[in-house]
Amino acid sequence: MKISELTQLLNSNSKGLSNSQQNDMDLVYQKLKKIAKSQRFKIKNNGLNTTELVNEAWLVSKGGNKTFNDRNHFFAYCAIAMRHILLQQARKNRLLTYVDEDNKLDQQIIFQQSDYLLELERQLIKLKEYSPRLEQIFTYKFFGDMEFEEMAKLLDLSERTIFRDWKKAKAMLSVAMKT
Amino acid sequence: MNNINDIWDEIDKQFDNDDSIEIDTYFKQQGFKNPIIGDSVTNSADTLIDFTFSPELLPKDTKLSKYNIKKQINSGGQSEIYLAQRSDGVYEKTVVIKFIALRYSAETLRRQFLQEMQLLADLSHPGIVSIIDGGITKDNQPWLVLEYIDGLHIDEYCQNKQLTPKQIIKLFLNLCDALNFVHQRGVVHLDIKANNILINTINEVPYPVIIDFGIANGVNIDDEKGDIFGTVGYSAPEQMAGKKTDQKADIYSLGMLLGQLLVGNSQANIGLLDNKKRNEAFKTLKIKNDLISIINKATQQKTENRYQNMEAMRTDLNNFLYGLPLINQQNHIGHILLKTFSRHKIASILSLLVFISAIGFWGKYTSEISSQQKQTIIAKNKSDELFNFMLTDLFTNLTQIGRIDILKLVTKKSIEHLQNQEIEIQDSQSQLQTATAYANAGKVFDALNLSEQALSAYDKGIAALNSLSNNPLYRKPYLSQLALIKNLKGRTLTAKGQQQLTEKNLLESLSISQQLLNSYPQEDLNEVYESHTQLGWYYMEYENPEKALYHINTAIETAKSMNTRQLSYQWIFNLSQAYQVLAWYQLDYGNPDEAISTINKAISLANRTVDENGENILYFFNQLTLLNQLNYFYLENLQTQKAQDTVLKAINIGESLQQQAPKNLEYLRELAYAYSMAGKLNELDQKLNISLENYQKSLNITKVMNQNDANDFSTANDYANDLIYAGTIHEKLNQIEQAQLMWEKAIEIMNPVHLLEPNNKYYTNTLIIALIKTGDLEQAKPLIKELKESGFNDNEFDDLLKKYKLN
Repeated sequence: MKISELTQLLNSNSKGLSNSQQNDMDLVYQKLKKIAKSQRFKIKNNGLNTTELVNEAWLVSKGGNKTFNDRNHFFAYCAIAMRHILLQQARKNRLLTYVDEDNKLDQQIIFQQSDYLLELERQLIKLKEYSPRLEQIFTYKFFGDMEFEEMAKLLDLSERTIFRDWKKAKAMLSVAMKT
Repeated sequence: MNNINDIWDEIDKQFDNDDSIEIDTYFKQQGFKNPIIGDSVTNSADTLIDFTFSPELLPKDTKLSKYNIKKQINSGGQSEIYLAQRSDGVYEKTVVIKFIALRYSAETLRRQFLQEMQLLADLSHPGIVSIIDGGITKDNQPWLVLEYIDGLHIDEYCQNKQLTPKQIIKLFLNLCDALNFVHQRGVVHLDIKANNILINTINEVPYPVIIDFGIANGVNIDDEKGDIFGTVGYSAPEQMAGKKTDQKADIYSLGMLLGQLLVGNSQANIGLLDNKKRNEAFKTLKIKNDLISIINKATQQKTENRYQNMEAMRTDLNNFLYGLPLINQQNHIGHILLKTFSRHKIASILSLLVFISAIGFWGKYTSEISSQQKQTIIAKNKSDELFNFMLTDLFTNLTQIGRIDILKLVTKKSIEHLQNQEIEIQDSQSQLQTATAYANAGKVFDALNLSEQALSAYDKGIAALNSLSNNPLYRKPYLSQLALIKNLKGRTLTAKGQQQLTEKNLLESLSISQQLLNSYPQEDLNEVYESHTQLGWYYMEYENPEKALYHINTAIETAKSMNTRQLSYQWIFNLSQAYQVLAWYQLDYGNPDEAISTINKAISLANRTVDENGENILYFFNQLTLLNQLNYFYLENLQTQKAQDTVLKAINIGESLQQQAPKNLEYLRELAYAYSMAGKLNELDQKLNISLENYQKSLNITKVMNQNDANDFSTANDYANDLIYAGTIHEKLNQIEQAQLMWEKAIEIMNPVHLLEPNNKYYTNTLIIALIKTGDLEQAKPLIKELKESGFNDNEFDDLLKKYKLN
């Protein structure tokens, strides 16, 4: 996958994914799910960790996967995939809170986290309009646990800039979500 | 309040200016207790991640929804639809969760949605998808939980199973039942199409299930704005136009759906075809006419022309399936009988029941006619299906009993009805029927001397025929009907004095009849006969004796040859009429004795029709006109004694006709003529008072007729003549003032007629007499010269000229 395609994917919001993008996303989801299952025992007490999931996914796919030129591309893709996958689940969960009012689902932590992600998504869309780079860096870091060094290479920027952008994005999103 | 972008600009500047700001310090400065955004989603949404990738990791006591969304079924459509599993410990069920792509913020809409949802949830029918739950979210988005039907769409099903039309109808009847069930409860679907009908197969028995009600598409907005959904080709025109809809909109869609199922893949969307192409598509696939007529009836553009409810359409489909006559065709009694016969092969109890009801229908109908209760008939008119019948089969019956007056009412209603029908979307049979109906309506108007209306009806009839012109299956009825209408049009135009137009129409009629004769030499020669007869009259009227004689003789030969072919009172009648024309020809251009002998031939034929088939009022009427004419001939020939006898016969027949058909102006006119004759004969006998009495009776009739249609010059002429005659008697009785008034009135009537039709010698003659009587000889002289030059020959006229020394 070329960086331009990655950017394209990042640029499309989750509702507007093309069929092939959606298929890719579903494949990633299946892969991650499989990995999650196999790692179940290792991580039992800490829950799932994105870094580990993605690292594992890279290792698993490294052999046969020629889509990605390097590890950074793959990680970036995974970050976006993670954002989409979680968002989809969050949406379904929110729908469930609507159609299953009896169970007071909105008081459950899963559903609260779903709402949180949905709100974050709304702000991310605004942030993308404000500064696509800030949104990109935030996504890679927050959803893909990418290192600053990796992002710097991928985006051809200094680590210092990446770090400053990350701080900016966090600050901006926090303020936005607070208001 | 600052715009978020301004705040972000501020943050951006802050971090650019001081690279050393720690994010946690910043959060503290902002007064955030906990960082709202963590370093990783792994921390911020850990439970969600577990739930997403490995739900078995969730703690045992995690409370989840009773629904588990499996997948989104559609994407990119108007609404979001999910397939979900419901498992709340009570039962497991696959359901569909649908979020409708509308926001119901207005309280009225919210309430309406919830009410309808409740209504649908209460509908329990195997042909209707069950609504399990529903509501409106905080964001005002309506949602529904529906039963999941795991089946093919109805069109895919019919295609895959290669169902025959009858099998399709069987399946379809279940759909009608379901929709009827819904309609009876006041709910309308408004989006009936293949995509919204699934086939639920239970124990290998397929059953169509209606999904996606209007409410499920947000169609229930009928007030606010025109936010109406529908499907091009399937939705009724009124729905597409955003007008108010009812169950008839569903009937339209259902008709289209049936058509689509029948044509299968051969047409992508029959709803997009015009009626003609659609019917062609059906015909190509050899779909039965009855079935096509059901579809056409259901998909009429105007709601009032469609089946009025589901039950009616369902009944017709069922009738079709069992070979029973259709409701939508019960106007053809012959059709019903035909069906009844073919149906007896099946010999089912059902068929007998329908047979009895069909007979009952007919019996009731005729009893109403025979009791001649106008009101009942008018009430009956309200039933759409009867209109065309009224103007076709019934026309003959009503003219026979002479109830032109009832026909007038029927005709007016029927014309309104015909005007509401869109001829382009009718099938050929209906188009032909419409043309016939218009032709008959025209005849009625003509008989009522309403020539403008008559001409308009004829033109509409011709227009209705237009669409049949290229249909080889309808060649014969097309030509026959066209010839007939042109002929009728010619007759009406004659009465209006439209010389050129009359000739044009009559010649067209003749040429069409000859085409018909060439193509179908064995057929009845009625059209040929009629054309020649009318042309005979026409050429006599406008002084072309050679042409006139040719057409008259051809008409006689035609009638004679038909009489040798078959015994038919109609053709005896026709022959008598042809002799009548010949007699007039002989009177004008030949020997009066010959004329009297010919008209007597005509009368003896007319007597035969009356003696042997006295039920037909037209035959009586024929007798009356012939007797009147004989009288005229006798008078011309000064055989007053013979005339005295015939005039009494004529008045007798005329008065009896008047009783049978008091409003038939045509009959009245003949009666008036007989009175006028009696007036003349008594005048000759010097019985002036009896004479005046008879003239007055005649005058009373012709006056009304003239008031009825001032454009009918022939009537005007009659009225003027009566005025002249009655005036003359007054003169003889020394009532000069009355006499003058009547003559002046006659001039007043005839002046405009003469201006418009100077070549008509009879009209000119009348005007001259009136002018002479009033003493206006100067105005009369040039007219007399004109008339003499045209070869006009009339004893009475000559006497008058001698008397005033004007010859």
